[in-house]
Amino acid sequence: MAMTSRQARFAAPFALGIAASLALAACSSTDVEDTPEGSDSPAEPAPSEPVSITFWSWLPDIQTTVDLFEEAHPDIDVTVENVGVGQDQYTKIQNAVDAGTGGPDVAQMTYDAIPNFVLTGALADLTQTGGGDIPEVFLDGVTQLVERDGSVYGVPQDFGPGVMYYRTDLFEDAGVAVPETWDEYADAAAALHAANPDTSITFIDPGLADAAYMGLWQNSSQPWVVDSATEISVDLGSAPATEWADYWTTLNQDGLLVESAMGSDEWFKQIADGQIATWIVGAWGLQALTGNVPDGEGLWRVAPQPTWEAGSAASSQFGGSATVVLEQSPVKEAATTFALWLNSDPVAVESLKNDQGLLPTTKAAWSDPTFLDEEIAYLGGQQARQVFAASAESTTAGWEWLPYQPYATSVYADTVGQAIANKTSIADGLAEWQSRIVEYGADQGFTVTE
Amino acid sequence: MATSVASTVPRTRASKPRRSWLLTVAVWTLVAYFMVPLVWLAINATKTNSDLFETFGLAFGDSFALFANVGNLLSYQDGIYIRWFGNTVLYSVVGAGGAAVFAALGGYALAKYDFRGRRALIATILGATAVPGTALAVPTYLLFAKVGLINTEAAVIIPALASPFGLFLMMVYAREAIPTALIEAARIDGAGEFRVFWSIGMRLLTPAFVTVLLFQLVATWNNYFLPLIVLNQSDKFPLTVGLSLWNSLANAGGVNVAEPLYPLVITGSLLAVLPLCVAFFFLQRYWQSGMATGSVKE
Amino acid sequence: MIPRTSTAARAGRARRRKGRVAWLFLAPFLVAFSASIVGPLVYAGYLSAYKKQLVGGTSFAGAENYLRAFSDPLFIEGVGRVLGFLAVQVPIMLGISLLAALAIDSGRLGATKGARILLFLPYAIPAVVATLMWGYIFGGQFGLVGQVARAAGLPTPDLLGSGLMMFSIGNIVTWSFMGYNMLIFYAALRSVPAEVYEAAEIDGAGEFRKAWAIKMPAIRPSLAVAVIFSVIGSIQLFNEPSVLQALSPAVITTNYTPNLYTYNLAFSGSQANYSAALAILLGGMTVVIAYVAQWFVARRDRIL
Repeated sequence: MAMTSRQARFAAPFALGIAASLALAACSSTDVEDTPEGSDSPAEPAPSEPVSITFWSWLPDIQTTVDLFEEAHPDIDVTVENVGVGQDQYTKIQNAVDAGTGGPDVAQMTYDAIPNFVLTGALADLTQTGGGDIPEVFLDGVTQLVERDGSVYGVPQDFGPGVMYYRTDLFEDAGVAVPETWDEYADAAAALHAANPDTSITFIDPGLADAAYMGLWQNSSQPWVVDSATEISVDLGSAPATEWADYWTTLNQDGLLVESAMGSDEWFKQIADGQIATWIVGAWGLQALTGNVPDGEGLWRVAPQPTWEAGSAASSQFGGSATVVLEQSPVKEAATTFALWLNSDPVAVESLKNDQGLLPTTKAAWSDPTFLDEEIAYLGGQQARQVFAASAESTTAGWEWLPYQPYATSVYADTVGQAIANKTSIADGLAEWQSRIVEYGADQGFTVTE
Repeated sequence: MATSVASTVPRTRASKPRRSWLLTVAVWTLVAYFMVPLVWLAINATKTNSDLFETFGLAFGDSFALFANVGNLLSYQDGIYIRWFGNTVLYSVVGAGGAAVFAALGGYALAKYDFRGRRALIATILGATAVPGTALAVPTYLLFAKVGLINTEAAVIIPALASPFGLFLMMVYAREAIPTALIEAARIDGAGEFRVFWSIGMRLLTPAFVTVLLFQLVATWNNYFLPLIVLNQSDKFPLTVGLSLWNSLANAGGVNVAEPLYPLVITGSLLAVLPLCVAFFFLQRYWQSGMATGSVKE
Repeated sequence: MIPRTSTAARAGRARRRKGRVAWLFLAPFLVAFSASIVGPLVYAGYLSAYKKQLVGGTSFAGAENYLRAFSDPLFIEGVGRVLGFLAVQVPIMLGISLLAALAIDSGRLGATKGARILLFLPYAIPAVVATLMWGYIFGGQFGLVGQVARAAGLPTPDLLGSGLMMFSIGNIVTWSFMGYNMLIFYAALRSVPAEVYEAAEIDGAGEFRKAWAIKMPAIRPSLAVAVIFSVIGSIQLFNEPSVLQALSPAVITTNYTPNLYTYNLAFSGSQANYSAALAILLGGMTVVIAYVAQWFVARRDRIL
């Protein structure tokens, strides 16, 4: 968003610095040559002179894939920066957008944060800068997460179709069948714990909002609906939401779950120790296991998420990012070219799969039989990708993100998390979460109905 | 006769006191408690990634991987850690050195000169320091962005040069350690103000100066929040920001890492702390040295 | 012949000259200070009078942000918590630091230099690292405390649970800063000239009397500084809760301490304006408390 007149007036005392800072800002993110990169130029992405773009991503080895891009595109030079994971990076992007300078041209962004940045005008509409093909190239379930009113604000990179990783040995030893419905899951929880008090069917994390998103998504709770640019409705007390909340409250109060922070040192130890029998997460969870719990090789398998109704496949997603282009970038076309190549070019997709361990989002990748049929050694040779694909296909439709989802995520632990930690009613926690969300929305000028 | 000599002879007493075993035991128990976390750090820097998760925290792992860990640390991502280390040294040495000098000058002035506005100035400085820096982060970014300081070394060093704590500490020490009579005597002898400060004030303030220097060295070395805000290029990060980044990556769990990051964070933390220990060992002998001996007749 | 000028006029000139010199000496500090703290503070003050909404943009808010603070239960809860923390942790920490400094200065301690360095070392550890270490020690099942308790047959205390969290934070803060304060006092003690002790010995003073009559007064001014900055540090408590939040997300809420609250407002809530107002209020409150505290401790030797 451009500076308001008030902000411009305040800048007057710094007039001397502004000329310098403009020059510095121009130099820091690009090498602006003679190429006229007008923002209303038509979709012809290949510039005639070498262009420099800055890419912010927290994938640790993304440089490998970026190197491949530079080989194929000698006219575009990409500088990769890792400035923080998730919200840490978004804060910097927000600061850069507010200040008008200091930000990247292209950045990694998780799907839940995109509506927030779209609302503040921070992201470029890729249909105007060369990305018109995106809906044809990428999976429908993922494209809907980057589209709004016909505009596309990001190139999908990876996603996390919901699956259940489970310790097949623990289930066998206890003589318990692998659950397919939530009812069976609750029974299995009791049986496993009875057979071995040190084992819990899974963990519960008071700070993991994504677990709630996953659960509420799967059973069509639709806790928030964006009616227009200024109107939203929030309802965390609906029947499906309450069903989900009460289910987990019961398991928690019965002592069948172990409380643990996912990804922490303690949590990895508990996994390695066999205290956690299942992990319901996005498909990328495999990487965490493979990388950090090598002794678990062969003990884990993957299955679809348990469902509420027997025989009906319904899944949700957990995480996943897109590659976005910032509106303030002076080289949007080159940036879009890069973003598209990174996530859809076959060479890039191979690299994303093998070097980054990501699940691609292109239709092409998911129609490739070698990809789907690969036997994953860590999972005892199981053809895991078939399960991933099935999950991707049965994603419950209709899920939306709030225009201020990062805020909602930040107060999850304060509200729902308290209920989890204190083993009280999660439905009450949801009600508190709702009131914080509604209050914030109203404070931000939205018209919020409950 | 006014002489002030900065002697290097340790302060002596008329009688040498007896060693107290009770005191020794009490203090060293405290020391032992304080050392537990650091021992944990040292031991765990020798473990491999799987050992970290699979063995007892205060015991050694199945293999001794310290040198391998250090090797990985220094070569990961083309040696970015070395770059971070160099940045930290630069920021700390320049920042702390400058801060200590500025604090000495300013503290001396506050202690030994009575000028109009002195109390108001102290109150203002204190008031400004009392506002939490977290809420100043966004304004700092916006301000620095306007003058083009984002992503520069100056953005880290300039704030490091202002140490209100150092200033007040020097003020307090100057009041205590520099007798006004000495200063007057020097002025009568014809010395200029700066010369008085340099040859009398700084000599007497040496232990305090070293204290402030050391504190600022540590504070700047460990400075995290402001560099995090104003730096968007990883080759300018100090160690704290870099290690914290790796820590978040390690906790993100699901990200595919060719090189496990936990051992790097732990080994990197160990190496990050060592230079401060060395600096401390090196600087502490200055506390042995001088105060004014033989001065103005009372 | 010495020209005759009035003593008062000469004294006046000298004072003005000294005043100018004083400002000159202070100049380097003030320049850096203005650029890095005063500037952003002024800007924050400006921000605090405005309001920025996702729908509606920026608008003038006047004192609205400040008034809101007084009826904001999230803010008030955090303030209550740090004040309680302050009342308990600061005296304990400074007490231990004082005793340690006296012990080291007394010359009656075995291996003085070793103790001095090792007690200071925790200060040298940055927050990221400190949390890794303490998270290990305190954390649930696999933590050191848990394992020791199990070996002793005792139940594991939940050190990162809501009941004991402040105690654990207090432990970490004391661990980090005890050595730091100890050194401040120690440096003050070292500044006492040797003759003062010699004179006291000649007068027949024993160890305790020397400690009380000489050392304590010598420490008092630095005690005042230590108190002020400990108060500021306590009210601004941020690092420890921030890093422990990842381990105990339900206990450390976004408003656990006021500084954590202002941080989250600015960074996850995009409410930098309200955050600025709260910070300024906190600053004012801190100055008042620090003033009272150091007056109480150091009276004549106080700074403010």
